[in-house]
Parts: sequence; C-alpha cells; structure tokens
Amino acid sequence: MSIVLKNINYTYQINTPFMRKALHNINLYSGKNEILGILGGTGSGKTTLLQVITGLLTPDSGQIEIDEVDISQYRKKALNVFDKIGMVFQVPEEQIFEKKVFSEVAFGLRKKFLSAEEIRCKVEGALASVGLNADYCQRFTYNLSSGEKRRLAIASVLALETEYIFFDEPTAGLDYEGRVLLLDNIKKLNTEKRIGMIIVSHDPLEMFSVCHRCVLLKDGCLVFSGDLTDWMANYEILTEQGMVFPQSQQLVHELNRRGWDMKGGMKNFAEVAAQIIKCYDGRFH
Amino acid sequence: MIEFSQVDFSYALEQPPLLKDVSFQIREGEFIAVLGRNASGKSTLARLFNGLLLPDRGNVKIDEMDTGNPEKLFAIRQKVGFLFPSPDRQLIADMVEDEVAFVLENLGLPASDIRERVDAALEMVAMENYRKHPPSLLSGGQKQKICIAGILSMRPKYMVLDEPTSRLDPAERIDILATLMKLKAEWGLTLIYITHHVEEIVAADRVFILQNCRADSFSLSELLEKQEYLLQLGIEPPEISRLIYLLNRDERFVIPYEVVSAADLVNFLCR
Ligand SMILES: Nc1ncnc2c1ncn2[C@@H]1O[C@H](COP(=O)(O)OP(=O)(O)OP(=O)(O)O)[C@@H](O)[C@H]1O
Ligand SMILES: Nc1ncnc2c1ncn2[C@@H]1O[C@H](COP(=O)(O)OP(=O)(O)O)[C@@H](O)[C@H]1O
Ligand SMILES: [Mg+2]
Ligand SMILES: [Mg+2]
Repeated sequence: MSIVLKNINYTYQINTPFMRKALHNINLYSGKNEILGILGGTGSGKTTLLQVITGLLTPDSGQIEIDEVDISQYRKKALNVFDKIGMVFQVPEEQIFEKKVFSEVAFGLRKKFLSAEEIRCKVEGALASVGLNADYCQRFTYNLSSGEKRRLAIASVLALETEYIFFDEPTAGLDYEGRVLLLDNIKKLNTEKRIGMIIVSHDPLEMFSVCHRCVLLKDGCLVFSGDLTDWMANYEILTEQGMVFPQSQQLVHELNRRGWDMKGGMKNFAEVAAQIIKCYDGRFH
Repeated sequence: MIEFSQVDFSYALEQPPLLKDVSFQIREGEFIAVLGRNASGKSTLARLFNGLLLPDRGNVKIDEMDTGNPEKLFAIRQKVGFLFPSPDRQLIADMVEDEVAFVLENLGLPASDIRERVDAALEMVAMENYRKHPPSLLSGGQKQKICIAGILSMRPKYMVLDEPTSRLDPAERIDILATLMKLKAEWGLTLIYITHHVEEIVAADRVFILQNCRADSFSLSELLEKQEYLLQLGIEPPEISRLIYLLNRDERFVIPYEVVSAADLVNFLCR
C-alpha cells in the first residue's frame, strides 16, 4: 500500500504567454504508514504536487499510483480518490462551503450510512480534537476568525477517517494550542489508525518534529530527500539551495562547527537544550 | 496619535463581548505588535482602527478624528492603511504598476502624481524592477510586497497589518520585516502588526496581548521571561527563547532574553 509518482511533469496555462512549468520530472514514493513532509519556498510547486496526486490537476506526463492502482483508472472503475485521501486545502475558504459549522463537518459523513446520532458524535469529536467546543456547531462558517476556519477545515477532514490525509500548509494562522493539537492528532492518527500523511509546509520546524522523512522542492524539482539526520549532514549544501533551517538546528550546526560534539537527529528545542547541557558538562568539567 | 478610550465591542448580543473598556494610545512612529490566541479579537481590533467596525461604547480617534463621524471616515482611511490577511488573493490587474495605481485612480489624483507615487511606493518595497510583471507570476512574498506598495502609495501615516506573513516562507518573512523596519525608520511609519509568530516582532516597541476582552501592553523581554504565562495565552515564544528558558533552569546558565538569534546564542555559549 503506497503512493508512487513516476516522471511527473505539470505546466500551468500551457501554450499561452503565461505558460509556467510548475513540476519537473518528479519521482516520489511514500509508504502507507509514512508521514512524508514536502518542504519548499512559496512557488516551489508544493500545492501543485498535492493537486496532481489527488487528480485535481492532470499532469502533462507521468504516472501516479495509489495503492497499486493508476489514478487514471479510478474514474473508469467508478472509484473516487477522495474516498481514500482526505485533503486539507491551503486556503480554508476554498474548502468550506456550508453555512453552518455542523453541516460543514457532517457533509462528508452523510454518504457513510450513519445514524444521526453517530454523525453528531463524530462531528463533535472531530471539532473537539481541534479545540472547538460543541457551541461552535450552530455558528455560521463565514464569520469565524481565520484560526477558527483553519481548525474547522482540519476537523472536517479528520472526521472522515480516510486511509491517507494530505495537509497543505496546515498550521498557517493557528495559535500555539492549535498547532500542538494538530501535531498531536497527526502523530496519533498515524500510530493508532495507521493513516498515511503527506504534509506540505515551508516551516521546517514543525515538519522535522512530526515527519518520518522530508523532501525538498525547489523550482518544481525534487532536490533532496531524507530524515532529519540526513538533512543535518547536508546542512551547507541545503542552505546554499535557500533552505532556512530551524533556529535550534542552526545552533547545533554552528556549535559542532566550533568543535562541540552534539549528536544529530534532535527533533526540537527541548532535545537540543538537553544535549547542550550534556556537552557543556563534558567541555567544562 | 491613535487613541482608544473605554472601547466596548461585541458582534451580537448572543455572543460574548470581545473588548471591554479598552483604552490605549499609540504614538507616531511606534511599532506595536498584537498577539493573542485564535478568536481573541485581534482582527476585530484591527477593524476598529479605520472605522470598518465601530465601538458599542467609547470611541476610537485617529489624529483627533472620531471613527464614528461619517464625515471623517474618508480622511481616516487615507491615514490608516489596512492590509487584510492574504490580500494577494485580491490582486486583479495584469501588471504590477496598474495594481499599485488602482487605488490612486479611484482617489481621482492627476496622472503625473499617480506615476510619481507608484514609482516611489514600488521603490520602497524594492520591487521597482517588476513594474510590467503580471502579479500572478510573482512569489507569495513579492505579491505581499505589491499589496504593501498599494497601501504605501496612499502615503498613510499608520499601517495596520493583519497576519501579513502567514502565507510566506521564512526567507520571505525576513524580507517583508526588513522592508517594514526600513519604512518605520525612514518614514516614521507607525505599525500595528498582528501575528502568531513572536520571532517576527523582536523589534516591537510594545506588545499588546488580547485576552479576556482586554488589550494589555507589555515589553517583549518582560514577556519572554514569563514563558508559561505566554504559552497559557496561546502564544509560543521564539524557538531560541524557549531553548534559553530551558538552559537557564540549570544554574550554570544565565543567558539574557535579549538573545534572540542562533548566532548570538552560539557566541554566548562559546565565550
Ligand atoms: N462578523 C462577525 N460576526 C460574528 N462573530 C464574529 C465576526 N467576526 C468574528 N467573529 C467572532 O469573534 C471572535 C474574534 O474574532 P477575530 O477574527 O477578531 O479573532 P482573531 O483574534 O483575529 O483570531 P485569529 O487568530 O483566528 O485570526 C471569534 O470568535 C469570531 O468567531
Ligand atoms: N493557476 C495558475 N496559473 C499559473 N501559474 C500558477 C497557477 N497556480 C500556481 N502557479 C505557479 O506555479 C508555481 C507553483 O505554485 P504552487 O504549487 O502554488 O507553489 P507552492 O504551493 O509551493 O507555493 C508558481 O510559480 C506559481 O506562480
Ligand atoms: Mg502552496
Ligand atoms: Mg484574525
């Protein structure tokens, strides 16, 4: 069970003066239980890539297989990619179209032959998991704050319990609590329900803390792939590519350059702080 | 000067109030950061600055002009530039310079004035080489700068920015912040800056935190020492400050919270 991309090319506005090649010969494999991160600056092609995988955009050339089935076959077999893959869009306004919060979350559940009570239960559960209480059910979606809209968009997708979930810049506009809840949900769904995830973001900090592996997109090309240890081992080359590492990773790199002996693979500031205290002991005592 | 006096605000009777008895003054040239959890009322507060929303009680004055006075609204909106969240979605013109000129044409300025103002505004955001570019082909950060130039062309004295970097990558964020700091320094532009990213506002003169219908004013260094308090309010301190906080719990480290970059912390640790 996996997602496989072979030689994917995509061009916007083909044969017009505004023609723009957004993806160059992308080859990518993601295992079923993987949390895969796609990093890259704005305009590097991250959103385009997600939309190509889900069939929202059709590539110029190349092949996409989800669980061993070519996605061009899905339509022929009357299958829907979105029954398998839940997607949190980059802009919540482009995903939310119901008037009331309850109906928005319930929308995708309606075709699952559930009782009204089961639906209510799932809706409230999904909202609670993003920190929105049951009072939100009757609120209008259009006058929510930007963070509330983001949380609603996430809850609507989590409620569906699909086999895969894609997130496009999911933490933009979220406060600290919202980010922590989201990252916890991601880890929990992956370990408990074995849901595979692809997360797109330009923020390496969250990505390194939650993804098993991250790839880097640059000008539509896939230029790097690896876990945090691999990224740190290629710190200089990646920085030349325009990659901005999280501050705590910058710190680790610079201390090691000055002769400290910090281990790789520290996922967050807390692990880095613990290492600094340990190395400091070694150096001065 | 901007003055809020005893402002109350709620959207509807059945909803809890968002602001209660909020009073503050903002002097010209200040950089005010606004922080607070989701739904704390930041965007609501922003919309009170230029009369998009009016207080239920109390008043908001921009250079002595009350936002509740319909006759002053036009003058107020020229003084207070307002950058909506993700304004790049509203870019419509075929060329960057037309986009920036759009508002000015609506103001009925003569063509020569418009030309001059557009050029100056694009120069301020370092986008003068993109005059003839279609906005749709620019990066997120470049689009955001075009939106900022559009506002600057109106020569506002105050600028309210609601999460201006939420869609930008780290390199673009640094770039936008540098642009804003330059405008503040060279032009005395007053900034009211809403964000969830504390590392962006290390240069702020004051930090307003919205919570429990209040807008309390703090200095950033004072807040960084009270990290549990910040986290409780849904605000995450910068990564480096969080690291320093953990190090400082070990008595061998006494690192000041003025240290906000990895490079400075390296120097501190290697002394
Ligand atoms: N037009 C409106 N009518 C009714 N309620 C509204 C309206 N606009 C916002 N609200 C509500 O008021 C509260 C504050 O919203 P606001 O947009 O000011 O929050 P915010 O601090 O900007 O949050 P965020 O960090 O999510 O952007 C929220 O609960 C929101 O749902
Ligand atoms: N509808 C469109 N028409 C033309 N060009 C587009 C369109 N959407 C995106 N692009 C361009 O394709 C490239 C990749 O965009 P995108 O996938 O949105 O990047 P990211 O998600 O990494 O920010 C960018 O250069 C962008 O300007
Ligand atoms: Mg994108
Ligand atoms: Mg807001």
